[in-house]
Amino acid sequence: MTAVLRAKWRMLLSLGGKGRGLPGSASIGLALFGLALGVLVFFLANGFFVIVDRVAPGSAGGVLSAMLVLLALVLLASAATVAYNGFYASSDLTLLLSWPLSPRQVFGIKLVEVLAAEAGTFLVLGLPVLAAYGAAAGAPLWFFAVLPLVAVVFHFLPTGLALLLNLLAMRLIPAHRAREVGLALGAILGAVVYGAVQLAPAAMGTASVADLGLASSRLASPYLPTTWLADGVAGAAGGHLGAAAAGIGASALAGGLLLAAALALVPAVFASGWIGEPRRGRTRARAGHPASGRPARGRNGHPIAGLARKEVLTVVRDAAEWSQALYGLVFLAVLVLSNRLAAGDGGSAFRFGPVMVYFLASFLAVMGVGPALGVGAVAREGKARWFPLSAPLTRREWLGAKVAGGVFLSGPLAAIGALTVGLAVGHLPWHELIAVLAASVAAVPGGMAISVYVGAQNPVFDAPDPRRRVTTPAGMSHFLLQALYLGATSLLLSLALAAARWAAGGFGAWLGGAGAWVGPLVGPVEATAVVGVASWLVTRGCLSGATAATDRWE
Amino acid sequence: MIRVRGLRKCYGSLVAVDRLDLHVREGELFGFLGPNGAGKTTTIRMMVGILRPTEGTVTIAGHDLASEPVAAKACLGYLPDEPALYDKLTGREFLRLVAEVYRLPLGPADVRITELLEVFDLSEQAGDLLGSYSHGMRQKTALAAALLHDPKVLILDEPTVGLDPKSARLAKDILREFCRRGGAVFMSTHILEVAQAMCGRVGIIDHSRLAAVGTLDELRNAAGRASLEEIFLRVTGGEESADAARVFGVEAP
Repeated sequence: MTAVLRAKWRMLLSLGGKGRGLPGSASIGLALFGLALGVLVFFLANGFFVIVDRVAPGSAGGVLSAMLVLLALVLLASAATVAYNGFYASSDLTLLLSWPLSPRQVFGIKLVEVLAAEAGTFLVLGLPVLAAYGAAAGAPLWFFAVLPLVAVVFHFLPTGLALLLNLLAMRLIPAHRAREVGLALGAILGAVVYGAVQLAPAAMGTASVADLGLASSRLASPYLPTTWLADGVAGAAGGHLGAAAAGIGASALAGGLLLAAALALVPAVFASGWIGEPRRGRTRARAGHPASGRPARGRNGHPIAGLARKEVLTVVRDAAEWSQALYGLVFLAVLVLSNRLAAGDGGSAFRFGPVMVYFLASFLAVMGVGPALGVGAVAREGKARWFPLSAPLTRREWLGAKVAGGVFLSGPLAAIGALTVGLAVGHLPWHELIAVLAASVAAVPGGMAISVYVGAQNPVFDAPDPRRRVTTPAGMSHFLLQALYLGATSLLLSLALAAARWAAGGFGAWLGGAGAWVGPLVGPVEATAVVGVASWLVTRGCLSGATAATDRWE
Repeated sequence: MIRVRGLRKCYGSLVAVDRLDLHVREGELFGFLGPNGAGKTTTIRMMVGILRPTEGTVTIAGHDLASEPVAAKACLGYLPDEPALYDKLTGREFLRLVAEVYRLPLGPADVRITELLEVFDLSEQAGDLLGSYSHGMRQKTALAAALLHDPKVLILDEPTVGLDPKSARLAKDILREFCRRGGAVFMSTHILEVAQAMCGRVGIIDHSRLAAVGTLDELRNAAGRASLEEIFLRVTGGEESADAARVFGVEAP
């Protein structure tokens, strides 16, 4: 094991260098850059702590605790990524497993790799902050001597947690799906960071240092090991050895337990098939599953349901598919919404009416994901199209399943879009919000059918890239057809809502007191009915057109 | 069980299949032979409904493929020449999809899926994505899919290509048993030994036309040759290769 680690260390040192075992110029440059960055972080943090102590005396400890929480999150994300690469995607793992090393030794090598990767981040970001805190607080000299111990202890927490999460993921997620899960988590993280960046300036614009201290105290929960560590560091800075030992010791114990739990999981992970193949070699025994020996009772299969499920699974499991949809969605969301959200006041100058909210929400759902999920749906079959074409189902059913699969994926987006835009930008009353929500969801089948229709006209079955499954003119015609569809349904919706307002007045007079409740419901019902009928008609027409187009594929 | 009448497929001026007439009875294993590009795969694709014939009809178990496509397709199982499957589904999910598409009762279908996975030695990989399967594993999965709904007719395009000897033997045994139970098999193959060993009757297509059809004895008597290979070469003009082979000092068969 030590030989492997030595070899890895030599590989790290020779990064960019030509000499054998000698540090390369890239390594030296990297070290100097890290040192410079660490010094910069120290001075910035020192100045910050001095200001905090002057403006709000006594709140520096809370701020330090909050900073340690944030740093722990950064290290957790970094350790989880490094551990993910080490356990799932490492090219040397197969080689290591073929050598006479025990599972724990292989795990140990990977653990050292994670710790080594973390050390750099902590040296540049964590240690200077802790030193700056001590310097600002006038800590005794032994405080700085204790800092390396704090550094080691601090590593336990995010590293242990990251390893534990990865090992649990290995038990639950097969290796061939790990990439998709990783990308999904990355996308969620990116969305959260984007949201924070968009919303934080508005919130921070009026914040005082006292507010900052209050926010810090909220982050510094007394149940977090980082808070215990911050208390220990604060104790050490104040020259209280007992408080320092208690805080640092408690934090070390929590981190150690996490690492021990990760180590305890290692044999189970190896026994169930390393790199996340826990299901291989065993079958799930659940009620109705053949492995249980009890045949499930129940229904006959239905081709549209089966094929729609296949569409959903194919898209969800293929990063190339859903990343295209996500890209389109994020692009449109940023284009349409971000400026208003960043303004902080929900765009009071541009209060959108219900029809505009419907248009935007449907546009997000239909144009955001339609080009990837709907237009490319037919050509997605590729060489496997022999199956639906030779199976006992009509071509219309097959294409209908593609529309159904697309609706299943984009329907929730329309609902979320309608709620988000309706609440954040439209400030709609509840009955209008329901009307817009229902109409947006009802419009999705028609929009998806248009996408499938365009995709069926001249599909490129051999295109490896989802974006090239139809020709450019087809993409343009898709945009125009969708704009026409959304424009027409928006007009219908506005007429329906106007009629609903008129009818609600009539209901109110007719029903007396109950009219106050029944009247507002007329709008949602009418809106859903009108847009739903339009969507149904468009779906029928597009399916007929797409079915006819299949005859031209030969 | 399978009746093909006047089947013809044209792509513009190119005639891919020209007036094909065939009949495969219950319990019969029919071998369909021909050189590359003769029209075998085009014929099969018309017989399973992937391609629409320019002229002619195909009847499967009494159902006309043009007027009753769903009923006709429900009676047949098809194995394509290239077993392209849905890479993002697992083997078990794909077979479950097949069960749904063929409208099978899902409880018994799950039991049958498990049986077929065991028969084809795919149980351990049933939870893996099809994209990770080897060619042979895909071929076996596609064959399992063709058998899942217990069809009356099997139409197979090169069923033993890519299979290891054990799996090829298994496939042959399954086809014999299928015929013994009254099913009809229409199988194209390049491997003449397979056709000679398994097929009751063979048809040889050459230049888009059915050049010969009959039992092996009938073909032997007609051609005056002993082996299927000799008959095949005579029918398809392969004997001309003997002259070319002599250039390299090789005695062609």
